[in-house]
Amino acid sequence: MNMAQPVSHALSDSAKARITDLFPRYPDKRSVTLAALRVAQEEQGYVGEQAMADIAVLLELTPVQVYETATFYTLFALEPVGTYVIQVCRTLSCALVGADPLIRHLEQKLGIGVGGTTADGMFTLKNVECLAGCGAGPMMQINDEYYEYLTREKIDRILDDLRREGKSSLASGPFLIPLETA
Amino acid sequence: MSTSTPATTTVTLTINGQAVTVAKGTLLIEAAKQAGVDVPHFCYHPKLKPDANCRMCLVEIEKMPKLQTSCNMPVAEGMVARTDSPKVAEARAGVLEFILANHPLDCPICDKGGECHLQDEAHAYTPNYSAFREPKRFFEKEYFGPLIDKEMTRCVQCLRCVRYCDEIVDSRALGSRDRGSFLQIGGLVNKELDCEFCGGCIQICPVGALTNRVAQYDFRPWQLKKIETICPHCGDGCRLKVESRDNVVVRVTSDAGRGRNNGDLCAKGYFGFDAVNRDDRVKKPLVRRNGQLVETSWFEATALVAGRFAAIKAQHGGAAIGGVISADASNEDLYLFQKFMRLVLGSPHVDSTARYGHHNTVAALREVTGHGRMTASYEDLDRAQAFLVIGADLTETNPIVSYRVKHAVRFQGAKLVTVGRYGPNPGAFVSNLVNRATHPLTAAPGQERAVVLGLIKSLIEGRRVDGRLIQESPRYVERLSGLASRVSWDQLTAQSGVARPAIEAAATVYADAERAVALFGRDVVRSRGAADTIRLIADLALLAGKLTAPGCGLGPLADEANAQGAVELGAAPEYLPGLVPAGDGEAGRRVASAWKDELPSGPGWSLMEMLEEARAGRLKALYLVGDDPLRSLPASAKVGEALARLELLVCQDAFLGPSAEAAHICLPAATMAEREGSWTNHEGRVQRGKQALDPVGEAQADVAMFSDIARTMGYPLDYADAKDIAAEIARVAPAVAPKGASVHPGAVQPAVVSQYLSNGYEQDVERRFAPESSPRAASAYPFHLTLIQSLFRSGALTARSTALAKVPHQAKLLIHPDDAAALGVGSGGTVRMRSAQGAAEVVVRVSTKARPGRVLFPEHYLDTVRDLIPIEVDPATKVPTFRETAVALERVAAAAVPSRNGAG
Amino acid sequence: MPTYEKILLKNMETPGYTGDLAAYERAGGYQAVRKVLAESTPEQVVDVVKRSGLRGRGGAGFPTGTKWGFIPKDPSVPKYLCVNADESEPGTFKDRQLIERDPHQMIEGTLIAAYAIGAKVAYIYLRGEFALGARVLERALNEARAKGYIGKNVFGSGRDIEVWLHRGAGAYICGEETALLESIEGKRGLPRAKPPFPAINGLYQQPTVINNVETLANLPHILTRGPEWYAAIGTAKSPGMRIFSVSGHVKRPGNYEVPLGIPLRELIDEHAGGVRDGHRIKAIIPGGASAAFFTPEHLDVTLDFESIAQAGSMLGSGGVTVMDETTCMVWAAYNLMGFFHHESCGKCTPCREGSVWLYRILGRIEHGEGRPEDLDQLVRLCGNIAGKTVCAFGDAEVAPILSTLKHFRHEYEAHIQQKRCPMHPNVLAMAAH
Ligand SMILES: Cc1cc2nc3c(=O)[nH]c(=O)nc-3n(C[C@H](O)[C@H](O)[C@H](O)COP(=O)(O)O)c2cc1C
Ligand code: SF4
Ligand code: FES
Repeated sequence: MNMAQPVSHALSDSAKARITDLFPRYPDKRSVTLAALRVAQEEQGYVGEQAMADIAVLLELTPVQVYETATFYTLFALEPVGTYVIQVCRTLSCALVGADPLIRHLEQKLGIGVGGTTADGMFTLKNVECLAGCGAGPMMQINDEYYEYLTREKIDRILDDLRREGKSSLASGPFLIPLETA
Repeated sequence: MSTSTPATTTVTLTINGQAVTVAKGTLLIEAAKQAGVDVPHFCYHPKLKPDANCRMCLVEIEKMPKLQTSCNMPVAEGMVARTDSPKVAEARAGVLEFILANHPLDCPICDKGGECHLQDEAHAYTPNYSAFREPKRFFEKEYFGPLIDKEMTRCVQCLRCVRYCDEIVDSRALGSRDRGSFLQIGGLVNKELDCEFCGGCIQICPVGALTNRVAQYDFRPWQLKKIETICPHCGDGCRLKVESRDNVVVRVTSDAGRGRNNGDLCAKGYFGFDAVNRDDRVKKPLVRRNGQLVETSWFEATALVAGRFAAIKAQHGGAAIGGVISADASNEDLYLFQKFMRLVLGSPHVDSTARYGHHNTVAALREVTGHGRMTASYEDLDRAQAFLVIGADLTETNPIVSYRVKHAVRFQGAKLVTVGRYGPNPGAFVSNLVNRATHPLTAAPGQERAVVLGLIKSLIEGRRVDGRLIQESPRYVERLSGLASRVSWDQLTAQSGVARPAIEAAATVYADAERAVALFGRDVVRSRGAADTIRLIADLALLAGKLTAPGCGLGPLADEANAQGAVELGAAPEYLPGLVPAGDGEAGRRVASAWKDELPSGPGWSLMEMLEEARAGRLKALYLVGDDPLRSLPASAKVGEALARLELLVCQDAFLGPSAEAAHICLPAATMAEREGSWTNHEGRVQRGKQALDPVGEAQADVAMFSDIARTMGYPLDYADAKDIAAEIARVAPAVAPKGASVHPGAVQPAVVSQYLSNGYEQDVERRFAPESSPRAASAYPFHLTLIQSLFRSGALTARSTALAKVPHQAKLLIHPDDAAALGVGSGGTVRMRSAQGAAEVVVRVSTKARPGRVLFPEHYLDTVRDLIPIEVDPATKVPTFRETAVALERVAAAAVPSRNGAG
Repeated sequence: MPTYEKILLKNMETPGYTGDLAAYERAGGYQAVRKVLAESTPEQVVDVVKRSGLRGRGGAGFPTGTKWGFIPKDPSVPKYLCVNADESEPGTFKDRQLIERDPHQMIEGTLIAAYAIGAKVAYIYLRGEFALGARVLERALNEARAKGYIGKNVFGSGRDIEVWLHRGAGAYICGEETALLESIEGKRGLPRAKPPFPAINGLYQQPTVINNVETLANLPHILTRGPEWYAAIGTAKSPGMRIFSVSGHVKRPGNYEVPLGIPLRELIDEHAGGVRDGHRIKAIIPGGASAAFFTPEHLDVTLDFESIAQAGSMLGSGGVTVMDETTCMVWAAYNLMGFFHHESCGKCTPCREGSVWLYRILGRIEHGEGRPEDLDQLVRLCGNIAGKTVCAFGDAEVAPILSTLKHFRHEYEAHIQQKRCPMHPNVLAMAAH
């Protein structure tokens, strides 16, 4: 009857505290929904059913109201994903400067198609729509970091960095282009 | 007693060249309707806030460059709109083309075929070829549970279902998922639907995306015979449309704009009707022959019943015979039954199941308002600015009233004070009034009265007593003030467990609202000292000036469909038709002369007294019509012994219940759907229902059986039809006869209330101002158990509904998370529950609706649980109470993972 | 190349500028709001902004002062300011730079706007993907709060103005102002049907103003240097400086702050360094993906709201995407339609159903499976979407198709005749979705 869902855990008390701490910012608890979902995802790697049920109780909603919202936004993973979620911009400006061959390159490099996750659970590869890095394309986002002016070599280095150190010095800093004006 | 709504100024506009004048704020689509112009639409529904998502209702409005949706456009003075221009026609065709592009062509197998908006509009506005050459969108079929079917390929994404589930029902169990062309509606992830199962989403779906699985595939709408009657399941009095084929109920619906329910229903009304179709109905008269109930003919059965009644009457006198009728029966049944008992059998011992509660209400209010009806109408609920809801779990007991209250609170900003034993349980799919309370006063069970007294105290101490009352009835006010001051806050707060400031804040809300309604339900009406508590609620309303003021009033809620009629029409030992006290010689003579006969002498026995007299051997015969005391009363009532000693037990019912099993003669009764009649809801509205089906087998309407037996006994009670009986009721009991739709039948009778204020209030006044504290929980039985009402089962009929039986989470013991953790059980675990009377095993559901140390279990599920409870009878009103007791709990099965959230 | 005095980018383009509160104040920051709170009434501020002629930089170009004027004056009614920092219009990346490099400039603008409309609370709706921006803004807000510039009694004025950061979570449509409100309320980002309008019935049903980051960043300068100064920049109807984000086939992609009204050619050739060597401009999107394509004939159109509208496109978000002759126009339209199909919220019929239909047809044509009748079909379907939807997304999604069909119909026909994309043989890859 019900498809098997990935095991979903209850939210920790600290996660709950991070959520309720935001209540004073709004006249209505429901406004905390997006932040609460983000907290759940940070804690559990994705947004599970029990987490949504817990959020519902805190925000005085039904689990369905939380779920509705979660399904609308692309940044919420309702099923487990890789440690690193790679989102490569596919929209026009990046496509014009060669996003597509780089997406193919990533697919080969990781041995997965767009939408897939590597066997070791390390990387999930996704396409994404314009991330406001057009002038510095091709570009991609991995978890919280932006990586811009991409080339095959740069991508290879980023992936190696992440595998080795869990972070990469090639991540973009505060945005300012064209660079030479700075 | 409806208020004068704020004077609405009007607006004049032009629609298709025709001038229309409508109320300011009217939506253009409604203005058009008033002008006789129908604007096609899918997502708009008068019940719901406009969402303007389907774009079907686009119209042309002068001075506006773009077409505008008429469903969310308020009219403006001088507005010039066209709904018939080529531009509009083109836009409609465009929208329809988009909707149809991905719509399957499965109309032949779609249950909606024949009553589908999309079919209608498509015929009207599109060419019958499609330019769509792409593969149609496909949605994975999801199993949506046993009652409701979801076919997303048919969905037009108007979200009427989702909005209805939220705005009207407050279940919020349906939602929309994903976005863009993948948008679909559903529940949580791919789970089965978990909700209130009101069927509203099915009814409001303009296409066939949501359909009724109970009625799946076995009909075409135009093949159905559609007859309107009144719902038998609670006092709300909903108008139902029974849709049948070949004398079998296929489904039940209700049309928006019809009845007191305006087309809304609850699970019992929508899904609970299938019991009527059951095969185990009593279809022929049965008589006991050497221990066995065997079928017989009507001729024989009638002769037998008449003969035995006559014999017993001859030998022991009519007073040896008693009769009890169900308060679900029609006014005509009730009236004729008491007339049959009193005149044909010559017995004063006639009662009804209204004895289980509603008699408390009438006893307490008859001398305050003149009757036991709601003095506030449903329309008053819609406009109320503040509600006081005392001891009523509205969603479960009176769903339609709950829709109105929740709507007023959520969308009109009305304040809501709840007084009762339930806690909030956010996250639950079955709504809970406490979740919407602005002032939840959660009290110890049985301490509702202490809180009411606290509210009265606050009014007096806060100088919020109605000024006019102080002037006109100073003695009343002084007396009550004196009594209130005698009770200390310490005592009240200690007893009730509610803090003084919370009570004072609530009192302020109630007193300061211009339009405030006080509703109370079974936790008051069906518990110890109910009449005193109800009187005290009336005193509270009077002191606050909220009894007779426009838009204000009291709302006693009835669990049974016709508790009101049962009492008002004299199916009670203490009342003759018209709520005339049986003791009142003068009034009694008037009734007698209308009947052209003598009334039986001597005081009548109530239900509980009859049982006692039967045990004592003084009552020889009992006539049960639709009531089954063995089923309804706990073991401690010793019903079995009583029935066993009877010389004659006649049961007239649609099903063979335990009592019927013990009967000497059983007569097959028609159900609600199988007979015409009228029913009086708790507002006092008398609503007519038509006969939708022929009775199964040889079943007959109760009135017909009364007449047959009477005729056979040589005392004809013959009537042409129900209307004929209604006419006699109007003659004999003018006081309670319907006054027409425009007048609110529950209006307070001025003479009565002024009599009450001059000295009527004195009666028992000391007692009701001295609330008893609940007995200390003995260490042997540390938990307090309350039997609560369930939205999904309220009596014999719903208990026999196969559809309702499929609703999840039923028959569970609700227990607070802390208690569950302490016991080591979680939802799904089993506990053994013991009381001084016995023990029972029940499955647990963790929910914060149950407070710590207090557990809740739905009535009508387990006899074993009901039998844990000792019975007690109110000396004055003779109402038995058997809904609360102290219990001990221990874990039985290994517990499932305790669910951490309070959902449920 | 002509150079102009920078206003919004001045600080950040100053070498060594860190963008923290101290640096911002050293550059004269927070003087404007301090002065305003001390010396002007809200009405006066509204009036100044009206006279400056400032128009919204988010897309619609609505006069900011006028928008504020719609807000009811009644002090008992709570009012809200929402800062639209959702920047998601393809080809646009100016707000990101304003946020990450000089957060206090927009925060000061936010305080001024909140004061002008009488809002005690402002929410900055930041695009979900902007994690760095979120860190920068949180830090900046805390700095300002610590200084008493945000919160109770700001700058000792006796006024309370709270500013909270509210992060989105990945949905282009939340840039639409009413979808943005729904998203702040914790719901799905579905645009609301209007009426009612946000100025009367906005966030939490209260009067609300939504303003773009760049719009607000202008305020401190306008209030310091006066409306006349500002109005004198740019054109009469489109005054002031504007940041254009230039991307695509140009030598120096980037954000360029120039006066409104300079020719498109100057922006591309002078500021952005022109197209790649040895290539020719084929098409230009002047105002983000929602704007109609231009061709080289349009290079002399001046960059102000009126002229661009007259020429059949719009200034929109200021995102200028340049395509040279190597670009297939069907592919480009298909790429953008992929974006619109992915981002349609699905609320209203024409867009929900139309976006997927258009996307499918374009896909077929680009993949060599087009039919001659498809082209008229595209035009007809676009006509059934534009102007009939709940929000302006409907008009946006048809612009690339209609304009490429208008200027490059022959390329569509070539695809259909040759049953392939003449320029992108491996186009399938582009469609990856
Ligand atoms: C589909 C759609 C997307 C939009 N996205 C943005 C956006 O990302 N950022 C923005 O500032 N305005 C965006 N807008 C415009 C806003 O709706 C709104 O007009 C603007 O934020 C008002 O601010 P302004 O008057 O300062 O320009 C969008 C509009 C539409 C219809
Ligand atoms: S036009 Fe598109 S984006 Fe805008 S409301 Fe309609 S479906 Fe949503
Ligand atoms: S009925 Fe108006 S848009 Fe659906």
